[in-house]
Amino acid sequence: MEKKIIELKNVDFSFSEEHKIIRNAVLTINSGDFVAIVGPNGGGKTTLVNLILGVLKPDKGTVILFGKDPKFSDKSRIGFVPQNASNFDYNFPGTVAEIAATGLIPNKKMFSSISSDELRYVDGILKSVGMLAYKTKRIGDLSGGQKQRVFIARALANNPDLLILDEPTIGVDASSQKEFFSLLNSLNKNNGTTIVIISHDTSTVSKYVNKIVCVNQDVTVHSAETDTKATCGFSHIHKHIIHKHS
Amino acid sequence: MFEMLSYSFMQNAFLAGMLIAIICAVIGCFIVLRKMSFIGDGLAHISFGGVAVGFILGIQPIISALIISVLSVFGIQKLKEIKVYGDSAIAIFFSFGLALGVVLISMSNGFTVDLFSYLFGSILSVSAGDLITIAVLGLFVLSILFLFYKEFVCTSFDENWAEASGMNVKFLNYLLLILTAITVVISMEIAGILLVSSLMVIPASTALLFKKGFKQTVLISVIIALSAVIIGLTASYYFDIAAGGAIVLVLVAMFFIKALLFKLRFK
Repeated sequence: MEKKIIELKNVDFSFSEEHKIIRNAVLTINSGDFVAIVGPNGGGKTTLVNLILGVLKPDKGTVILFGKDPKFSDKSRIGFVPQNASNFDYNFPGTVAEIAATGLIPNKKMFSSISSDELRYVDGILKSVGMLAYKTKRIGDLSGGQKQRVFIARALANNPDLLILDEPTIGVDASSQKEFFSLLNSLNKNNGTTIVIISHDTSTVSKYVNKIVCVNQDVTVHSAETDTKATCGFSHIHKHIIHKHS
Repeated sequence: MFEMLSYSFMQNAFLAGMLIAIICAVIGCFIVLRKMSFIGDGLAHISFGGVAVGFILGIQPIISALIISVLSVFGIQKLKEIKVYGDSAIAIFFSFGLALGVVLISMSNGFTVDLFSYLFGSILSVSAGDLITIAVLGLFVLSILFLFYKEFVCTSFDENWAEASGMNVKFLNYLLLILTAITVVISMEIAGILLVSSLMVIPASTALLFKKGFKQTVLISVIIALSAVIIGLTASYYFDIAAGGAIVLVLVAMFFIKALLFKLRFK
């Protein structure tokens, strides 16, 4: 596997001429990194992820994902949990097993269907996130934390090399959050999955990540282990990083 | 019951009705879940203009309605891309189709009666040729829905995730709307332009009240639509009432019975 998973070289992005969202971003995320993207609301965190995923095109500069332009990179190597995953239409008639299995679909050719072996594999993932017992329940009947686990299972169904999570813990209670980060930590340490997480909960993420990317138009990268001066416009990030290493 | 099936017009009506019921019930699940119930009604009214164009030009109304509806799908999507609200875009084309139809009727001298059969449905006059057209186009729609079933499920549940995962969401949205346009056009003769969207929206909405998984919901939607066609056509034959209206009234009754049971269950 390539060492550099994500590279941004001097990337600019704006939705209009007056409002530049990302300015001259330079960023490298290596295989095995556990990275937090933090910054104030409207700072450009989700835009940065959309640039990485190829959903948005940069005005200037280059984005490279798995060694290619994101448009042509192998998306089946990515597991993605979008922002506000807990706010979907939960009248949707999908069971936990059905929603988790949709994670296999980006890998599928047009005429191929999901095999029973693949469904067993998804069952295994549901077990690893503690949701196998709920597989026949409708997604709308679950709590916020349980839903989030199902979305993680969907993101993991392709056995991804890169897991991207956009504010996944909004609406999740504190105890569920702790279990959730333990699960991510285990995926990173034991499976070698590269993880990129957007979070406002800087106190929690700073305990697990090795890199903090501050996004507030400018994109600055800090080592969570050595750079205790990363403030990102949030004074409390600084304190948490110091707390972690004190 | 079986006496009515000895007539070829009733055999054709049952065959056409049941085929339409299956297609509308399946595609209706995707439309309702995307909160686009209005699109069926919009495309039906757009088809009205298409039917009128067919009569004026002397071509098969189903062909002209199909062309106008599919072109309108592209128009609606293009308006959405320039940030016109989706329901406004549908309303604009809806008005265009209806206005075009009304103007063309006013210019004509002879086809008003035929046009009314498209407005209110004429399932009992479905010919063998109509049946073949419905079967060919219907099987085409069902085949494409089957081929892209898993992609449509993904995009109906979570479009952002589908796009980030590399699916061509724009293409899938166009495809679903074109299939909806074809479904509306081939269903016009059964339920009529004014009632066609009910065949898509009501079975799916009723099925959703059963609170099952996706595949089961689609299956329940199909069973409801088939039951309504069989009951409605039978009632139409024995009570000499309009078949399209009878089918839709049965569907509405089924919906309210299920909604009442659902409410009592969660009281």
